[in-house]
Amino acid sequence: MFDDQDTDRLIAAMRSHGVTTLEIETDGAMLRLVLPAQAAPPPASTPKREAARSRDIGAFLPRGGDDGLTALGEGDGVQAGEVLGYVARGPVRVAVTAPVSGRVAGAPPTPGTILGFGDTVLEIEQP
Amino acid sequence: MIEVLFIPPGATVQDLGRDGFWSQGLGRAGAMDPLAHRIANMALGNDADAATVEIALTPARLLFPQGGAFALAGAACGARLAGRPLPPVWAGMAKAGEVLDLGPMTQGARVYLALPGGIDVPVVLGSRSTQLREAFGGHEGRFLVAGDTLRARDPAAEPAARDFSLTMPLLHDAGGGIVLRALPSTEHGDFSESARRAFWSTGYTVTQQSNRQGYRLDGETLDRPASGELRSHGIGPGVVQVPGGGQPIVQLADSATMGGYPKIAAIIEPDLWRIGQARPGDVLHFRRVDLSEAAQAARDQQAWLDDLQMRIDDFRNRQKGWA
Amino acid sequence: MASPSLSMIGSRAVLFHAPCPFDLAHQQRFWAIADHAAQWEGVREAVPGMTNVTLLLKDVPPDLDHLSCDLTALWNSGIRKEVEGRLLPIDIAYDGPHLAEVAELTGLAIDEVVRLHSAPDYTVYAVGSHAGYCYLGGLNPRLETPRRKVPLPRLPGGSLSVAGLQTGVSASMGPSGWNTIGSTGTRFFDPARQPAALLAPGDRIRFNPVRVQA
Repeated sequence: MFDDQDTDRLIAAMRSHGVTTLEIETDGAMLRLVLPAQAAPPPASTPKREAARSRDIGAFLPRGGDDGLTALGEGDGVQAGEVLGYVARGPVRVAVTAPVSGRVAGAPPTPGTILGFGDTVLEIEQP
Repeated sequence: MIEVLFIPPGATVQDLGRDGFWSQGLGRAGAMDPLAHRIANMALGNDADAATVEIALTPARLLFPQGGAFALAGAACGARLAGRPLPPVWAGMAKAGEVLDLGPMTQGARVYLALPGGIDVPVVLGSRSTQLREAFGGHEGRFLVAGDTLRARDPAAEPAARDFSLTMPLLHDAGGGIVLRALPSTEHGDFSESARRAFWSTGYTVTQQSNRQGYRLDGETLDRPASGELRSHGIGPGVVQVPGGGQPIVQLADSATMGGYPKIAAIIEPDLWRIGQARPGDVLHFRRVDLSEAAQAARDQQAWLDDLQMRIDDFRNRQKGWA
Repeated sequence: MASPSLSMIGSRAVLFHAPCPFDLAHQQRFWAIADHAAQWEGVREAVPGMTNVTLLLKDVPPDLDHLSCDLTALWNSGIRKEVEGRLLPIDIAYDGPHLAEVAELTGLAIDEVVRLHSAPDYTVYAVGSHAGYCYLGGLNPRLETPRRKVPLPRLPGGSLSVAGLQTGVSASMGPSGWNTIGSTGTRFFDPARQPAALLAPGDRIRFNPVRVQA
């Protein structure tokens, strides 16, 4: 299911959101993580950049594959609410959407990268 | 609620069809691609039989005057909401005043639009499907036109999950054709050996003379040596008839209940969505199956739908947990 | 003599027919078979055609053996449904676009065409083709005409037509390859009515000429 690196990322995501218990069931296996309560979450991103975050746990699926959208690259302009890519588990593809209008700062993650809830997938630089 | 700003003729409100009136000569009607119809409903948390809008020709423009949740499934048509591109399968929210633009269909032939709780039109004879010939059901028994407004049955429903898409089964095979599994039908044995070979091994192209009632196909001529008029008998969606000219016609959702032409095969129900998404120019390949394969195909499709429902429910539950 | 046969016309629809003469006595046997089959577990609807029956099933049948056996047994038993269906008079204006043509094709005067057509009581053999449409038996063979080479694309509902040895009244607007000789205001299908279809197999129609105009 998830390897140690993925589990670490999950734990980090849980901590940054103050989540203390998480249960995931996937592909017939179940993972349950319980953390002791922690201190405040880390500081927000730099003011000029807004994070487009994952809203689920799964593997990153870029746009521009079989979805009819154009592929997304560094520097592309996007509108607030636009689909930037997906976090996929089985047939469900949860969209990662642009929090604001602006330009894509940095490259999208490698396809297949495991993402946790709240992970920053892309940053959008506002003009 | 949606308001139709622009739409070519061919869009109707459909659900899964009107059962129980065959004896009165009334066919089933219902969605030409029942799978996409179901998926659009599933994505919004609607019942499977909630009515959707079946859009057969684009471009189309639809306004959400008060915004609201909606779902799309079916043909790839470069859909855009307020200019933002959407994948072919989508569940999301429109803000008040946003316009949904559906562009030319690049793959597939029908797009299904679902609203929360289903499209609010009256139930007539047990269904909300449109009977075009008899001019009742659906939205006033006719195609949608600019100016029509359609309401959701449950507009206030805030979907537990939004902004997601789904992976769909592939319509075309590796060679670009569409494979349709079919059972041999009544007059199959009356066709010549070369006709039967041609039917099961060569491609048949969908012609422009194709609509909800049926598709006319073009391919190798199918000759039936012992000709003669048949007495009128029951027909229905999926039946492949061969009139005197030797070119097949496939009866579809708005099929008549009785016909008189020879029948070479019947497409199995789980594959009707594929022909429902076939466009003029698409090449169809018929693959012969037997009853046990037909039964297995029905079970497989139901299992796929059940699994999809479970995955969507899991996602909804996680969304509630995150919130 | 060929035997009865059962075939698939859909993954959940079968067609049963037995070679036999095309007359009321044999059609009555298929009405009886339809009535019995409609009661069977696994059958959604049983619909008589012209000397055949279509069964719509709840599930894909694992094989056709049981159904074939049961249907053939009913056929062999000779069971018939002798319906004393109601007799419905229908006012007809014999004013169709092809009335004169039919007179010419049959070599009869127009008045004679009207007289021969409206004389018998017609039995509804089957309902289908479109909602409420009745396949009628009993047309006088002297009125036999060929189907049209070019069908009319849009014929209004209520159109009375003849072709071959058949006659019928359309219940809604649609194409027709038959010869149209009259019209009626009677609604053969009304979704607001219970049942929606006006007539069922076994009912009878008598055409009452109210006007003749070629």
